[in-house]
Amino acid sequence: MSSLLGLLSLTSGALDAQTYGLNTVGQNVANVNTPGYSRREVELTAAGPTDPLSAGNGVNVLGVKSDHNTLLDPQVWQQQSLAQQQGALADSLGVVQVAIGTPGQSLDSNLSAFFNAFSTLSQDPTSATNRQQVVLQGQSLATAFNQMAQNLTAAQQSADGSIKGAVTQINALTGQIAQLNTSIANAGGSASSEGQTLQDQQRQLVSQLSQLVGINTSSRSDGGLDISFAGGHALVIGSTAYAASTVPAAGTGLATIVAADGTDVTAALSGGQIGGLLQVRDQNIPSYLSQLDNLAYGVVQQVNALHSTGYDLSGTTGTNFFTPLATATGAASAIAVNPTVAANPSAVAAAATNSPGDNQMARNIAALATTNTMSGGTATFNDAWASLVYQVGQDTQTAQSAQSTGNGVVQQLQTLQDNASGVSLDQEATMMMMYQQAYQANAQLFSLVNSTLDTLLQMVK
Amino acid sequence: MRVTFQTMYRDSLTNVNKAEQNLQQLQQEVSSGVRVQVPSDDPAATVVAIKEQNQLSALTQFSNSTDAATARLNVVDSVMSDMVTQIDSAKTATAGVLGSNVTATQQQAAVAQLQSVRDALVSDLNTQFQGSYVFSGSQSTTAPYTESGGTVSAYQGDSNPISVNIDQQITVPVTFNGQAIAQGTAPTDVFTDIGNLITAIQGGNTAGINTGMTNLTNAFNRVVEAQTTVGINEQTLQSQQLRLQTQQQAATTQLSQARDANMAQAISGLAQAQTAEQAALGAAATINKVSLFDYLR
Repeated sequence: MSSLLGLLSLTSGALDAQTYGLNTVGQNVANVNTPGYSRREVELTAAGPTDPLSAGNGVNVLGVKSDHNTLLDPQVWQQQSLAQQQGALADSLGVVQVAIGTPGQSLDSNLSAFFNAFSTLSQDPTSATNRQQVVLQGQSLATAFNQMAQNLTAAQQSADGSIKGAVTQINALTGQIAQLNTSIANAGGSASSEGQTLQDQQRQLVSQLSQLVGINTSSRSDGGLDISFAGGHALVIGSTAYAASTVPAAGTGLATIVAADGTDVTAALSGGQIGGLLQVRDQNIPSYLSQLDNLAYGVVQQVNALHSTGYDLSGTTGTNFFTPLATATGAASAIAVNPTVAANPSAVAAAATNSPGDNQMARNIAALATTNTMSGGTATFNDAWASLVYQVGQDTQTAQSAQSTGNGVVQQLQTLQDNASGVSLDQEATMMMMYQQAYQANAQLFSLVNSTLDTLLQMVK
Repeated sequence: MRVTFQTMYRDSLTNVNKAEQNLQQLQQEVSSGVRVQVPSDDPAATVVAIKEQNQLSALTQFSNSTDAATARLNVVDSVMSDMVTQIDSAKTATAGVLGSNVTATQQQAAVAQLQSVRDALVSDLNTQFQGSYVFSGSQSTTAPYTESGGTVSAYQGDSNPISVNIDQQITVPVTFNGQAIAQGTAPTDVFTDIGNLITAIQGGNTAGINTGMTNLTNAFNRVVEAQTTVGINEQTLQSQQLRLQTQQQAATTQLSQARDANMAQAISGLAQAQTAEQAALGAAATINKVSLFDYLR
């Protein structure tokens, strides 16, 4: 049997519930621009009747639910990792390809200028000017090689620096994520409003982490997340963060990345900015440097082989044009004109026989420009340079297009995520109207019950 | 499907960025006239550009070599013309002292003429081009002949004339074996011949004068022959220069095709990109101009 007073308390509870709903709308609208915020929804349920002649006891607020699709999270993070890897690759290679220079204004022009100088020398082998020109162009070529090697090494060092920085960032993030794991567990996980807010924050941090390095996540029963990287090495388990560190590698001095358990995980890491930076540092640039070294070594070897059999103005033979190199490794940074020749251009061997006016050796050296001496006798020096430039261009283009595809995928997934958890102002407006009108209706009812009670009390007077 | 605030802004931002990036790329292409700014724009075209640049540089070098060789051969040609004239005048002078009514004055005049021719020939053969002797074979720092007190030295050069490449496989000799011109296969050189001729004229030795005349004719023929070869080489250089110009044009065209923007295409692309950018900006500006909140009064 319901009572008017009971109805009054039911209506009052209903007014509270609608206010709670409006409060949630307010929270949603306030956070419409907050990154990582998941839309909140009030969970209402009808309060059951306590006696058989009552329709029920009004409405109960079960709590606030966070509309978040946790199934999509790992996919978003994984795709973000891949897109960031390609992004870091594309950015670093973009710097490298600028250092490589444009056709006709880079090492290729130094190479042709050098061999052309020998051709000019062949027109007048006794000319001091022509000899000086050969030495100067030789020095320019050597400097261009040195500079190019330095540019590539600088790009490698810069990637290395970024890797170290990224590891520091990873440790900062995992520290915060581990702390949040504790807070989320204490707040009771996703069941509580506070837990939901903390989870939103944590997901934001994990998203940032996934942009730095490829990670695997697994949900904890207490609402938190465990995180591992590099094929199963722990970063965060519960309230503990496992910090990765960087150790300079023997020889190169480049950073190796060591997991908290002491394992060198450099080779096992993939994804994220670190993945891209490692690829540039350990694969792309070493490959370019090695091609550059081979080219420099080829020039030194081929020119010296001819030059040392020629005769200079004073009839001396056996002089190398470039300082001889033992191996191709590091040739691009080491190439230099033989100081004897640099100091005295008359030591340039233009002649194949011991007569000062002979130009045969100058012609032979000039002809090296068009001789297939590289890649096992299948390519000229210029071809070898062109294939290096092609590789850099192709690698950059591939990374750029993979980055663009990856960003597209991330955006699609984010849209899906937003569909589930983002704030739609239209929806909030609808909800607001809904709660407002429900509030008005309940208030009317409250006023009606109130006046009914008044009527009842009037009877007593 | 729920359309959320952040999705709309993110999508339209991405679209505006894409449209502006595209516009910027095309603006750069139109303003610079270059399609391939960095290797990643078109790696294959970059390789073509490098090869064509290299080819152009090689062709320019061959063209310079051809010009230098032409200048040198022009000098040699004119020197040889002078030698022809000199030997001709020697022959005329010698012809004047053949016969029975030759006076001592005529003899002296002929001798003086021959001495002058001998000096001129030595001077001709000692011609230098940019400081190197052209008739010493590869001994370009050594004068082929020196004269002192009316005596001309033996040939001091060598028999290895040097050549320059005017193409990968085409060479042209730019120094000459002076001895092949002055002496050839004869037992004595033209200077000795002229010396003997002077002696014969002074002694009235008709047989000697006739021998001298024959020797002068032989020398004349050797110079003419050498000059003909030089003339042929000059023609080769001329046609090579034309061929190099054609090749340079071809390489320039190839380079331009690989690297340069197709202006008509780039400009129409630019117009398209501008429209697309304006559309993207317009679309972005209309986002959530109205929401349901606007209708709640």
